[in-house]
Amino acid sequence: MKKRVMIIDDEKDYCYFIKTNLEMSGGYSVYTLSNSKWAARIASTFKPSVIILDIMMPGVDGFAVLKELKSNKHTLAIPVIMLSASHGIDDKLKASNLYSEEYLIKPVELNFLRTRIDKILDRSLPG
Amino acid sequence: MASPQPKILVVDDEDVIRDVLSKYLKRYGYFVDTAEDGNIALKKLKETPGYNLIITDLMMPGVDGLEVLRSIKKTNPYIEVIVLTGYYTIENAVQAIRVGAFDFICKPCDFTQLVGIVKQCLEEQKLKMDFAKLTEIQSFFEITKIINTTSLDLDSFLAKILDFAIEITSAKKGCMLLGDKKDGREVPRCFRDFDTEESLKTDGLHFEEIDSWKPVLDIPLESAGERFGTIKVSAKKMGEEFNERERMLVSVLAGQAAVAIKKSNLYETLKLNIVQLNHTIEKLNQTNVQLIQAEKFAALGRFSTGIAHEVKNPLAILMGGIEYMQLKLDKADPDVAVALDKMKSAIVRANLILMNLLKFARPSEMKIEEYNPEQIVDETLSLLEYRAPLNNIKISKEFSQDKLNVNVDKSQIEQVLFNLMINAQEAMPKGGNIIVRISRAKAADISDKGVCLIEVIDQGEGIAPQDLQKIFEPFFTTKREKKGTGLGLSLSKTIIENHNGKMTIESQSGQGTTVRILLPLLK
Repeated sequence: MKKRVMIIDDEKDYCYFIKTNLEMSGGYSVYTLSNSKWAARIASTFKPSVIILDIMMPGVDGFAVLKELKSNKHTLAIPVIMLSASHGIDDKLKASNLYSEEYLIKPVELNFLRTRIDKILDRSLPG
Repeated sequence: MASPQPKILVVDDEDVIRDVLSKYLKRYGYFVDTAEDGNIALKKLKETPGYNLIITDLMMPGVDGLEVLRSIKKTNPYIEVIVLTGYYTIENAVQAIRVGAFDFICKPCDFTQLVGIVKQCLEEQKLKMDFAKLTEIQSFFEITKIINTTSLDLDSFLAKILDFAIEITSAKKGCMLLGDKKDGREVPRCFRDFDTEESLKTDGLHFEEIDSWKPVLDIPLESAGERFGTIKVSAKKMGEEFNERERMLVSVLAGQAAVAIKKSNLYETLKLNIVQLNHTIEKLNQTNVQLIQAEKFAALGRFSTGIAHEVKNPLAILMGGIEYMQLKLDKADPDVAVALDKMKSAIVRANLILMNLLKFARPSEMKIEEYNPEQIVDETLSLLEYRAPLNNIKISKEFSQDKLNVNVDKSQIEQVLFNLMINAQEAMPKGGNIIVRISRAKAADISDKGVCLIEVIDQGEGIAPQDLQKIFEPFFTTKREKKGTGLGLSLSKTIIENHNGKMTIESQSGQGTTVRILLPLLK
């Protein structure tokens, strides 16, 4: 069964490449979302195995989405990987305090991203 | 002011002569005293100052007239002497005039003629005295003029005062003693001995020797209640005591000397203050340059933070795009695969530059812990072996026996050392030795507890002087062709300064480079 990945990033081109590359590399089914406004609600319906979330986005930023995800019982358990251009310690701390599982900095190599996704999913999957 | 009544001393062993002469001269308004022989005359001269003229017989029991004349001329050359004698010989007359007699008159004499000679003698004496006073005044004026010059050479001025004091007191030697700045004890500053022609040398001159001078005129150098030293003159030409007038004159000189010393001390203090002021200005200028530099880095940091997000996203897309192509190609075309690999490396490098730029803006991210610098150096060297094997490079470690500890962010210091080691390696393309030395040093501007000095010394090409000035500027690089970013050293310096330390470079073209890192020690 393919791992369901949801990417929330306002950079549509980036979303496209990550989705295509992950899917081409095999084992992933990726859903992308470039508007963060309804991201948390869509996630609760879509129920991805893992969410890759950007921070700096117009309108609702990644932290707001993360907060919403972690405060909804339907999405609470979904592991979230923050993937941002910012590598400030404040952002890392904030993400950690809001219970994100991982913090990666753009640009990230595909293999590395896959490793992190797999590791997190191995950890979070029961049994 | 009316001139004081002239004082005349008549010395003769004949009562009649003394009485008649005395009465006669008194009629002309002179104050007249008498002495019946040479001894009494000399005693009176010693005890009662102020005689203008001595009229003396030549042949007297005890001390004769010539002896009296000699003695007077030695002790006070301004006192005039007229010899009045019944034993007139040419030899006596010549001798008396040679010793300094104003005139030589035979007894019996015409009293009217004698009064005329007395009058003329006193007038000439007054002229001589006035001239002498004028000379003294002129000398004092010269001294005052020197004091008022802006650049006073104290030693030559004191020597001048000393010479003048010796001259006006008819002494032979003198010394100027000044209070020592450390303990206040007075020590000889300048010295003059006209007998031995020794001058202005105070080396080997013992205070005890000066202390034993007799007779001595010993006047303190004082100004406004403050004592600066003493002026001493001694060995009057004829061995007699110093008189009140001499004491008064030397006191005036001592006052002038004290003013000059005070002025000189003020000048020295002023000079010292100016030196300190210049030092402070220099330090301020340095601080200013450092502040400007720090502001440059801060601005760079702010700028970097701003652009990082904007640049990193397109970089991420490029990375995604290249990886996409790599997956699509699936190694079908090896040339394209190589090209894609190179593009990917370029993105990684561009990203590294951005990461380094961002570090300028983030001093608060330091994770400070206590470390032994040897451990950090050792770990950096193993990291270096792993990430950039050193070809034909030998590394010598010279670590202090002292156990040194510093409070640092280990990864940041490792990054600095790593940068320095890579630089050293690149400076020696044909190989060579790199010395990494750790020692304890002193640097009061960094820490009272001392500093840990880490030196990285290479035997490489060195740095040209014009490059050395810019070596810490961001984006300055001499390794453009080797893909240097020009951020390594400037970032390293910022890191060390964020640790309250200092980083310096010493280098000459063709003679290698020494980079010194100073970090405050914990104890």
